[in-house]
Amino acid sequence: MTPWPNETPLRHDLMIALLAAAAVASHLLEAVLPALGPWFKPGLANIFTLVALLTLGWRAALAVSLVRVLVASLMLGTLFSPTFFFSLAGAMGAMLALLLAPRPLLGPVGLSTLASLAHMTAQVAMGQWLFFNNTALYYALPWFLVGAWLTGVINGLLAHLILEKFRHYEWSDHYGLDSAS
Amino acid sequence: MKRDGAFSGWLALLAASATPADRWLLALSATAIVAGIWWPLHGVASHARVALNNQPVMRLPLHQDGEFPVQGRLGEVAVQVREGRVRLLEYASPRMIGTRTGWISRAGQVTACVPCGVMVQVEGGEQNRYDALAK
Amino acid sequence: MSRLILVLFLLLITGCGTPAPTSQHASRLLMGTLITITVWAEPGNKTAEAMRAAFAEMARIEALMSSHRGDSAVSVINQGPRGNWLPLNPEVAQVVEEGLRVQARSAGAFDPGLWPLSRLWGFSRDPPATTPPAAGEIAAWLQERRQGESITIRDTATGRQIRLPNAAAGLDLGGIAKGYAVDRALETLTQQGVANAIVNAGGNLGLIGSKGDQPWRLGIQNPRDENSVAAELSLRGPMALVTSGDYERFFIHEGQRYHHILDPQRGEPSAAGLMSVTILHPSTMTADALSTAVFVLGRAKGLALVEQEKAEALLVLTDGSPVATPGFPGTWLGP
Repeated sequence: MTPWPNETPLRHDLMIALLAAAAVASHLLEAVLPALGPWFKPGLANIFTLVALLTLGWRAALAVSLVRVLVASLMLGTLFSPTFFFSLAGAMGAMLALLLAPRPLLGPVGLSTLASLAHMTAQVAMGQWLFFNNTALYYALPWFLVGAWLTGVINGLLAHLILEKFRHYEWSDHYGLDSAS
Repeated sequence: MKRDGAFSGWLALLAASATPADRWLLALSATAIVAGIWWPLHGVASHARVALNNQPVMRLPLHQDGEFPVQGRLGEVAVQVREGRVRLLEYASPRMIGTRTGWISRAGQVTACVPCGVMVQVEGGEQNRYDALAK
Repeated sequence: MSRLILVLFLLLITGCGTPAPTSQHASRLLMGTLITITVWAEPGNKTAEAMRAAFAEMARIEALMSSHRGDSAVSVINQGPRGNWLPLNPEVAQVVEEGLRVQARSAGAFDPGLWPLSRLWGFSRDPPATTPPAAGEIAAWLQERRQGESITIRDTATGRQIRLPNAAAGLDLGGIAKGYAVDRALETLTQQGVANAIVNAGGNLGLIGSKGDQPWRLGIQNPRDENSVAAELSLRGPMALVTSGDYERFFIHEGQRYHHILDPQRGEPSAAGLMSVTILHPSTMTADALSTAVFVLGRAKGLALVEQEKAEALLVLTDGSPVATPGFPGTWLGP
C-alpha cells in the first residue's frame, strides 16, 4: 500500500469512505462521553459532512451523512430507536440547510453554523413530536441554539483547517472500483 | 491538527476564514438567538398557581407532567398536569357536589373546587379565546 | 464588523418601550364561589391595587349579606324575633328591595326570603348536603310559609326597618347579592381608575369598557359539558351577563339530580324545563335575580318577564336546544 496522501491523486470513493469513517468515529467518541448531556454535543461528525460537500459535492456529503447516522447507530445498538430518529432528523436538517445555502457566498464557517442551527432545530422539532408530554423543549430552543451556534463556528473553523490541507492535493475524478491505489 | 488553546488564535483563524457573507450570517443569527431569549416567541412558559383558601400553595410548571395532591377542606384533591394542561381531579365521593374534570391551559383560565377551597389558575402561555365565561 | 454588531444591537433595543396594555387576571374564592377579575390596562401596581380593592369590597359585602355567617347583618335579622320591626342596614335594604321587586314581578318565582328552605336543602353547607330533606319537612315549611305574609320594609325617622312574618321566612340573598357585589366591585374598580374590566363571580359577569378597540369576547358555558362553550358574544360595557343553571351546585341521589335553584311554590329544585338561563341587563344585581326567576318560571312566563324587564336572554331547554330573545346578541355554537 502506498503511503497516503502524498503521491497519488485523492480518489473520490476512498475520500467518501474516509470521511464517513471519520464521521462515524467522531459520533461514537461523542456518544461515549456523556459529559455535557444529550443536547450539547460538539457535533464533530458534521465537520466531515461539510468537507465532503465542499470537496466532493452534495451527493458525497449526503452519503457521508447517512452512513454516519446508520453505521454509528448500528454500532451503538440504537438503530431505529428514538435516538436514531433524533440523529437522523438532525443530520437531514443540516443537510437541507447545506443544500439550500448559497455556497460560493458562504464559507465553511458560515455553512457550518447554518447547518448546526438547522441540526439543532430539527432535533428539537423531532423531540417535540416524539415526546409530546414534555413541552419544555420548545422554550429552551433559544438556549440550545446558543450552543449550536458556538459549535457551528468552531466546527466551521476546523473544517476550514482541513480544507486548507486538502487544497494542496490533486483530486482524481475516479469513482472506480477497479484499480487499487 | 492540534487544537490551538489560545482564544486569540481562534479569533485570528475566524477572521481569516470567514467570508463577508459568513460574518453577516453569524451576526444575524447571534442577534436572532439573543432576541429569541429576550422576547420568547412562544410567551413565557405557562405555569399553574394552586391556592388553598386563597393562600398560594404551589406553582407548577405546565411542561412537566405530574400529579400533585392538595389537602382540601373535603379531603384530598389532585392537581393533574398533562401535556401543558392542568385540571383538578376530585375523587368522586358522595361528600363532594359535582365533579369538575375540565382541563385548562390558557392564560387567565381558572378551575376550582369551591367547597374544597382549592383553586388553580394558569399564568403565561397563550391567551384564551374568551375573556370570561358565564356559567 | 463591530459596527455591524452595534447597528444590530441598537435596532434590537429600540424594540423596548412602554408596556402595552394587556389582560390581567386575578382570582379568589369568595362568597362561596370562584371570583375572577380581568382588567385591560398597562401592567403595574395601579391595576393590582385596584383589583385588591375590588376583592376587599366583595369580601365586605359577603360579610354584610351572607346568611351563612352568624355575625352578618342579614343573619342578625334572621336570628331576630318574627313579627317585629327590626333595624335594616341601608345597603342590605337596597338589595332586599330589588329582590322583593323581582319577586312581585315574577309572581313569586324569585324569593329573597327562602333561608329556612335553603338551610333545609343544605347546598351551601360546609360540607354540602348530599341527600334531600324529608318530604315531611318540606311540606311543613310550605304550610308555614303560606300562612305568613311577605317580607316588608318600611322607612322611619330613625332609618329603614324590616319585618319577617314567621319562622318559615328568612333572608337569603344568595340569588342576588353576588350580582350586587359585582356591581359594587366594578364601581370600586372605576373609582380606582380602571376603565376596562370584567368581574366574574362564579359565572355572573359584570363588565365595563372594552379591550382597547376590541369588545370583550365572552362565552356561555355548555350546561352539560364544562369544557365546551355553547354560545359566544362580544360586548362593551357597562353590561351584565348572568347565567343560572342546574349544574352549578347539585348532588345526585339515587340516580336523581337535585340542583340548588329552588322553586318557592313547591319547596324543591325547580323543574320548569330549563337547563340554563342567561340574562343580559345593565345591572348585574337585577340580572342575577332575573336569571333565577326565569329559571323557575320556565320558558313562556320567563320570556314574558324578560321582555317586561327590558332585558335580553338566552335559555337552554332540557333537550339542549336554545331559545333566545330577538335582541340577544350572541351566536349559538354548541349542541
